[in-house]
Order: sequence, then C-alpha cells, then structure tokens
Amino acid sequence: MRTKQEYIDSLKELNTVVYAFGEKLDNFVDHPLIKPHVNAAAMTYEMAHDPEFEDLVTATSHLTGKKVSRFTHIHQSAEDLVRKVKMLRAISQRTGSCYQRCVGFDGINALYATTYDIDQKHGTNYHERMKEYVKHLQETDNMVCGAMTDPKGDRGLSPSKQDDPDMYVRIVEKNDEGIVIRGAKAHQTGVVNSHEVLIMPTVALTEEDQDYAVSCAIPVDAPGVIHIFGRQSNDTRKFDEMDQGNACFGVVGGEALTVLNDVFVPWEKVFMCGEHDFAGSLVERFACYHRQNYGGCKGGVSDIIVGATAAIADMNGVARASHIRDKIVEMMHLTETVYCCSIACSSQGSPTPSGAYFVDPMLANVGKLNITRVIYEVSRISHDIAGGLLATLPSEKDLKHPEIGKYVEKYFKGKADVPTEERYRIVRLLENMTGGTALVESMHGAGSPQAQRVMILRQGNLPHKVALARKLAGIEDK
Amino acid sequence: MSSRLKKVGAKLCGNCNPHIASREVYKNIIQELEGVEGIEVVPKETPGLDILIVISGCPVDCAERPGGGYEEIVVAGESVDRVSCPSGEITEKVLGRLKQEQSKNNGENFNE
Repeated sequence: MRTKQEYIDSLKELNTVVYAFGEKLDNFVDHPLIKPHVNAAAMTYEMAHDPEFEDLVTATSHLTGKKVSRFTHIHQSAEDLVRKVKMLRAISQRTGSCYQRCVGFDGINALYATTYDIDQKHGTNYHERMKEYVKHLQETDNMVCGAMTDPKGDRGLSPSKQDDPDMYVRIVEKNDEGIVIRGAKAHQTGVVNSHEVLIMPTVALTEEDQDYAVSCAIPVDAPGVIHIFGRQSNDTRKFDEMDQGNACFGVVGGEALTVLNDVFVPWEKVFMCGEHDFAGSLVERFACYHRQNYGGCKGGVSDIIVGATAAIADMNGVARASHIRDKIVEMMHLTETVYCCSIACSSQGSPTPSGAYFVDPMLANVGKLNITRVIYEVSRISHDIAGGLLATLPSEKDLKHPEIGKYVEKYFKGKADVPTEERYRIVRLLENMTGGTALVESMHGAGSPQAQRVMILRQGNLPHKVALARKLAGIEDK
Repeated sequence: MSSRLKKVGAKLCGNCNPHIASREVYKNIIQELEGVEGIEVVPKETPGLDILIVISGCPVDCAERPGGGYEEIVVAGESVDRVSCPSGEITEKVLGRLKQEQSKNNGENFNE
C-alpha cells in the first residue's frame, strides 16, 4: 500500500490537464486551490499504515489474500459494510472534510456486482475484466474517481433525444483495440487528485440510448481528458491560512468538470458497452452504496462541528447555560441519528449473485435523505450558538496588522484566559464548515433528495402496508 | 511447568469513535509487557500466538481477530474482559489477567 508521501509524489508524475480561474495549472498538486484536497485524500493513505486505524482502513482481499486499502476492497460481508461506515467516520474526524476516495470505492463495488449480472444474461466477460481491474487497483493502490454524473442538458429528454448528443457520455467508435468515448462528466469529486477515472452511466437507458450504456476505466491524464476545476464559496480563502478555517484539508472535496474529447479505452478496461438493460441497476447500486456513506462521513464532519461549537461556547463564556447544553445535545442526537442510518443499512446488507455484499437500499436512501436536512440543522444550531461573529470577523491580515491588530486582538477576546487567536481560529473553522458549498455538497452528493424519495417509494411496498391496514380495520378482502 | 516463552501480541480496533485513549493504552501495555518474565512480545499475526490482547476503543469491540487458537484478553472501552474498569487502571488490570493466563497454562492456582 502507498504511503501518504508516495501518493502525493505519484500525482506529480502524471500529466493531468487541470484548468482553474482561466489558467492551466502546471503544478496542480501544490496549488493552493487543490492542495487541501490532496491532503485530505492523502489521509486515506496515511491512516492505512497507522496501527490505531489500520483495522478499519485496511482489509484482506478476497482475490489475492493480501492486505489492501479498504478503498480498493469488494465487500464480502455485512461486517465489511459496517466497517466501511466506521472507517469513513474515523477519517472524517481527522480531516473535517470530504476526502473524495469513496466514490471510486463505490463504483468498483457496484460494477463488480453488475458485470457479473451482465455476463449471466449476455454471455460477455466483463466480470473477469472487472476482477483484473480490482486486482490492479489493489496492487497499485491507485485512487479512482467514480464518474457518474453527466451534464444532462434538457432533463426532460433522454440522452439520444438531446439537441447536443454530447450531453451524456457515449461511445463514438468501436474497433478491434477498444472503444472511443466522447462527452463530459460533471461534479467530479477528487478527480484532479486521482489516478484513474471510472466512467459509469447516470440514468436507466432504453435500446435507442445503447451508445450511452458505457462503463470503463481511463487514466486521469489520458489523451483527450481535460479537467476544469469548480469554484466553491470562500475558495479564495485557500490563499489565506487562518481565514480558510481548515487550512490543511479544506472544506469539501475538490470538484471538476471532466471533458472527454474522443478518449480511447482498450477493451480490457471496458465493463459495459451497449448493455443498456443494466444501466439502471448499475446506477441504483452505485447510488445506494454512496448514500450508505453519509452517516459515516458527515457523521464525522458533524463531530467536528459539534466540537467546534462546544469550544466556541466555552470561549464565549456561555458553555454552562442550559439552553446551550441542550442545543449541543440536539446536535449530537442528529449526528448519531444519521450514523444509525448508515450502520443500519450496512448491517442489513446481503450478498449479490457475484458474492459482493450490498446494502439495504431503503435504509441507505433514508439515511441520505436525513442528511439533506440534518446537516443544515446541525449547522443552524452551530450558528445560533457561535453568534454573529461568524459573519463579521475581520481578516487575519487585520488581526496581524502592526497598527490596528491590537484592536482586533482586544475587542474579539472572549473569556480572559482564552487567547483571541484561538477564538478566531475556531470561528473560522465553523464559518467555513457550515456555509455554502459544504451544505450543498451534503444536499446533492450521491443524488438529490428527490432521487432518494423515488427510491423510498419504490422500496416502500405500499400495497403490503395498505393490506395490513385494511385487515386491522376489519375490511374483508375478496 | 512449561518453560517455553509465551508469545503475546496486541492489536487495536479501528478507533472510529473511541471512549478511551486507545493508542495510549496500547503503548502503555506494550511497554509494561517488555518487563514481564516468561513472555515474548510478538506481532499480532505471528503463527502460534498464545495470547492476544485486543484493545477496542468502545464496548462494541469490533476489532477484527487474526486467525489462530490463542487466548484473548479484551479491553473494550472502560472494561477488561467485560468487567468495568476505569481507563487509568486498564494497564494494571490487563497485566493481572496476563499473569492469570500464564499461571493457568503453567498449572498453578493463581489468586489475584
């Protein structure tokens, strides 16, 4: 397994094409916009070598029997699914931010199960290719970006009916060597600091959309691939230190638009090519695996928000007020509620025909839907407790200013025994963790709330519930 | 009486949400073990392990066990072998349990 430094150094050996703020970045790894996301992802490598965490962050490969990063592991039991959630919480507690590696992890698990199913029906050999790909990932310990979301254009039209056929990634050529794909993937978490990109369709498809039924793996720096880095609220804070809040790991994962200009993919890296009847199940499996995560990863992030809120309450001298304590209890209650959901959907996991374990889809979707509300409420309470300072604190340059710094130092002091700088740092951490991009990521990551509601209705078995009610009401059904 | 050194290993859980300072407990135990007669501190995956000290950060005790027919001494949050124990006394309790295991294997009656 790679060390943290080996991961960082490996990114510098790539020829990844990254644009940000109108410029092509020569050394994106050390660029202030990207470096925090590299650091966050690097933590997944660092913790795998730490005896305190290796029990969660590593696993034994069912393919080779070797110890591997859990991020390259195919779940072999419900216990594996539970360990994944616990691992995510543990890493989040140390980064306070998204570390981006779970999307590819969920992609390989979804594809492992789905390629098996495709082969059973169509007589293809995608599953063997997928096993080899997983072995490759376990051997190299490469970081994979799971690339599902297409730009989609007119959401009311299917991919093949779009005015611009490139609004969804499609196959434009097939030959003896492989395929050529064209299009783009949007909202690609961690792609610029990954090694590989795992392309997957984003919607269920019909026969007329079969060119869009494509799944494959490409190097992040393959010819024809361009990444355009996304803006985040407060992103220029990354050029500051204290004002960034979480200076080491940033706020959320770095996101990019990944353009695919006629990218060649050799056959051994193609895992779906026209089998449109399996696009829907691949999307659903990936979505459920990814929704499973949020009680773990956002649970850990919420742990940090709770800790920072308790810290600022203490620094402000209000920690003992009963309403403050009660609000902090509510924050913990909400955090553990979403953690409960992730543990529940994991412990209720069951095997797929491929042998890989899959989560309970109802509970995974319930968990994610809860997050879309809980994170806003946890943040709201933190704002309530921390006070208006979150919105008015002067720049770190003012705090450090030779003339007026003393006023910032004097008038933003809380309790007498707490240095102003400590109070300043905690406020910045809270401000950055609970605003803008951080909230939107929790809302839409792994699918928007309506997508979860669709799954909940589908899994809800309403006719059965109606029959139960009718029976108890004494209605005789003929 | 057996004169063979007993192979003793220790491992941590993944510390997703520990109730105790697991890493400190682990370090303290390993340090104390170095001075105990009759035992050899070995990596947890060593074949033929006699005793495995598992240090789980909370009562769930989900630490994965390596294969092998060894005896366990389990720290799970503030408990040793499921008996409540303040975190400051865990190391002492574990060493006491270790002596019990050694005596049992040597055919002695050991009273704490």
